[in-house]
Amino acid sequence: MTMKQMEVHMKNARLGRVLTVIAIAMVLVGPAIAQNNPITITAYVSGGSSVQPADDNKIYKLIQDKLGVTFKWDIVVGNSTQKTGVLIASQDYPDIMSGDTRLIDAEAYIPLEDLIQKYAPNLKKHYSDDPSVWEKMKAKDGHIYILPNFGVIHNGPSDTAYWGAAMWIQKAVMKEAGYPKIKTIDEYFKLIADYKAKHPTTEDGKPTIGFSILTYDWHAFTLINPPQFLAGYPNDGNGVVDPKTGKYSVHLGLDIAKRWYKLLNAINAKGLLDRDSFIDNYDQYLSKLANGQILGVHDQLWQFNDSQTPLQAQKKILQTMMPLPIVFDSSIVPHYRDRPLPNINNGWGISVKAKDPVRIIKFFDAQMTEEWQKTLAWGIKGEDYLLDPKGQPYRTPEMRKAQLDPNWAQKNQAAIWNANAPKLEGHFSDGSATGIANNSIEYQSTLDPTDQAILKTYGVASWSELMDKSPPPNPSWYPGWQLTPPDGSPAQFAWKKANDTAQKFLPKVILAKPKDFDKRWKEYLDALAKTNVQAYQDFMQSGIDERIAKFGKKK
Amino acid sequence: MSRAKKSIWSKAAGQKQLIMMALPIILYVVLFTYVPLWGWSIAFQNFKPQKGLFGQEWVGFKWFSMLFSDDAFFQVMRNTLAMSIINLVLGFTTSIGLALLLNEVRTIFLKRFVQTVSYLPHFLSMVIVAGLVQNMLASDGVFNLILLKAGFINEPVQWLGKPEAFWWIAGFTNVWKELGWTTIIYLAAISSIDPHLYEAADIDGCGRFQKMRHITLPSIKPTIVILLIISIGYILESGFEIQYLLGNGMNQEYSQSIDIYVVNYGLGLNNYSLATAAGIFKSVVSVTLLFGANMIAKKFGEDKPL
Repeated sequence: MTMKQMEVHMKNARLGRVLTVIAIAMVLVGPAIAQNNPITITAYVSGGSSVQPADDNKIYKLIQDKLGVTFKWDIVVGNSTQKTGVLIASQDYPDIMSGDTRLIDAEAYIPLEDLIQKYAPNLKKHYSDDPSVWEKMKAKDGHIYILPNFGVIHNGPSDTAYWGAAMWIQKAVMKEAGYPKIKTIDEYFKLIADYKAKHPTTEDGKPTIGFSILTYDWHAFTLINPPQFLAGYPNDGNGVVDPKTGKYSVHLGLDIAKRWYKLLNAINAKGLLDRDSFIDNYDQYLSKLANGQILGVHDQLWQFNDSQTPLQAQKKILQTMMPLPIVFDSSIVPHYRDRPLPNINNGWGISVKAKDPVRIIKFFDAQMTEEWQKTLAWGIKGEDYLLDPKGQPYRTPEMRKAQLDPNWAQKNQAAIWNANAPKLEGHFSDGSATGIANNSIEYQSTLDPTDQAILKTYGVASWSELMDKSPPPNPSWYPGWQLTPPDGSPAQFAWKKANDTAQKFLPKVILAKPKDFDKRWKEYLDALAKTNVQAYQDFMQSGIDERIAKFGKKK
Repeated sequence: MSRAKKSIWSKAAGQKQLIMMALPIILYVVLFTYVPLWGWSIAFQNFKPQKGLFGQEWVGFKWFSMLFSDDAFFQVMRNTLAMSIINLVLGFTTSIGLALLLNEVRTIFLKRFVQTVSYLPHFLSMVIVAGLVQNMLASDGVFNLILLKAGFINEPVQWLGKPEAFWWIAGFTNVWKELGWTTIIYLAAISSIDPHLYEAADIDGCGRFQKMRHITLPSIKPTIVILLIISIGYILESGFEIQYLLGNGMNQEYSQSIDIYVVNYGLGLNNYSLATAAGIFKSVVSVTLLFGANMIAKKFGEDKPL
């Protein structure tokens, strides 16, 4: 009822009194209704999936009908760094924003711990079942700003797919060689070289590419990260930590890095390296993978999965990639796969400009029920999945096929919400795995016979197991990549410089004639020495020391 | 003194209407051009947006000294100047050249056709142009194919990975995109030349090239000089889009322009103070260059410099 209508009615005094009573009643009843009062949540998403959902998306429709929430997305396509910078400069924040340490530094999020305590019992249970998770979620000032989207596990982990870092190799290459068990980088490159010699082009006549590197924009960490993995260190954020002393060193100029770039230099001389690696953008990289041209990459699956789904949809399973835990020498124990850990600083946060944070946190909480979690993760029962007599979810072949179709997903999945939303992972209370594909019927059947055979050859049940059957416990400081220097600090500037230097000099090092390698490497080290990278190293060291002091050396 | 004052006021009173008419424009200029200069104060602060206008910490010339001690900043200045000069020289010579040539074309249809085709690229977004350039310069692109077939090179060259080629790639891309557009203004200037001059030249026995040199070019000289002065004011605006779209890790040494630097190290690192300091420096250089160009124009004998 609008004010104007009220005014008209007020002319009639008696009716006016009645209305007053109604108005008071409405105020009194208000809070109860407010639970589900319709609200539009504006959301800023940077990184990850960048596809706008269709207007008639059924999951969002369901959320709108049942929980009263409509979304308005602002999805960054391409480089998010600048867009976020502009957002901070304008202070014109939407209601919720995906996690970004720069937004935390700009005080763009509101603290959530009190809201969670008061209004969100489900979220509270989710994040404080393991008290160390709640502790790690806190920013430096002791507040919680971001609700981690992944890695909070209940009732034991259930992951089968492997999304992390690995040396990936095209399955066709492994098949050609008779699925050997390989461990070292030399064996890896030899397989690729042999295959490329036999198959200079793909079936479509495009030239095959031995090894490619993604170097575009922030994705370029795939250029600088491999040495640490090859040397048996976990992903500790632009460097390695000595497990005994806790000493952190930036990996850019280390000997293990030299060893890796020397290898790349050698394969370049043999024509195995994709020389366009250094000028291609992200889309060009993905399209080469989707064409099945690339035989090997170092990457993390979430970063190139968009190139694999079309291949799966076309049943070109041999052209998809499989992960391998490759190291420099057979004496090194690989540490690629790690135990699940809360994905700190990633996920939704509520902005300081949100009009009704209580309503928003209540919505966050409402979607944490098992029923909603199943809807969000599995879809709608009867349409997207069925239950077998034992209550285990599974899909029919048609449903599975639909899942692989990007156009279908746009209409039938809440992908963007899900990517950042807090979610139950591991197992539901009824024992089924939270990821539908991790349940046994579904897992076996979604595996293409080719994949099943490959896994069987290696005697493992899943790609995760292929990488590492039982990853060692995470060290207490791990993972170092979650530490980021604050805005305007010398450490931040130093890292930007060092990273720019690496991106400028490493291509020269890699593409140099083998006899010039040492000269180019020295030029690179000299340039690196000028960048004050020590400031960054000191920052990282202090962060790691802090964590060791807080949680001890081992978990 | 008081008499002089009085006379100013009485003079002003006599021009009341004129002053009233000018007032909105003056207000506009003050409001939108001078008031925002207050924002320059950010360069002397450790600016954090969430602290508001008055809660900022003042740091003096910290950001300027940081800029000048950064090798990359001089590289960036060099690139900006070099790309601007290449743009300027290529832009002027090609567009004047095309205008002169088009002026000599006798078939009206052909003239119109060439003019239309040459200015169409102006309407393309730089994103599309950059995509085209990227494709043409790719390892399996047209450019490499031609060079390979012609036997100039033995294997494809990563043109965008060749830092020193970047200035010219940017320059020629700009020429391709803007040539037809900038030619229009010269054609307009040429069309206003008194035909009697040409007739007189004909009678004196001038050939085509002599007419170009002694009539067409001197007649459009004022236009050229004014456009030159205007362009020099913008010389540090060598552009942002093309460097941003075609730049990569390998060619950054030659592709980073001042605007890219501001975006990467300023906005990108949330360091608005550093970005503003770089912006101020750029403005100072631009103003200096503008005055320089004005002086040169005077020497060229243009009696009405800006």
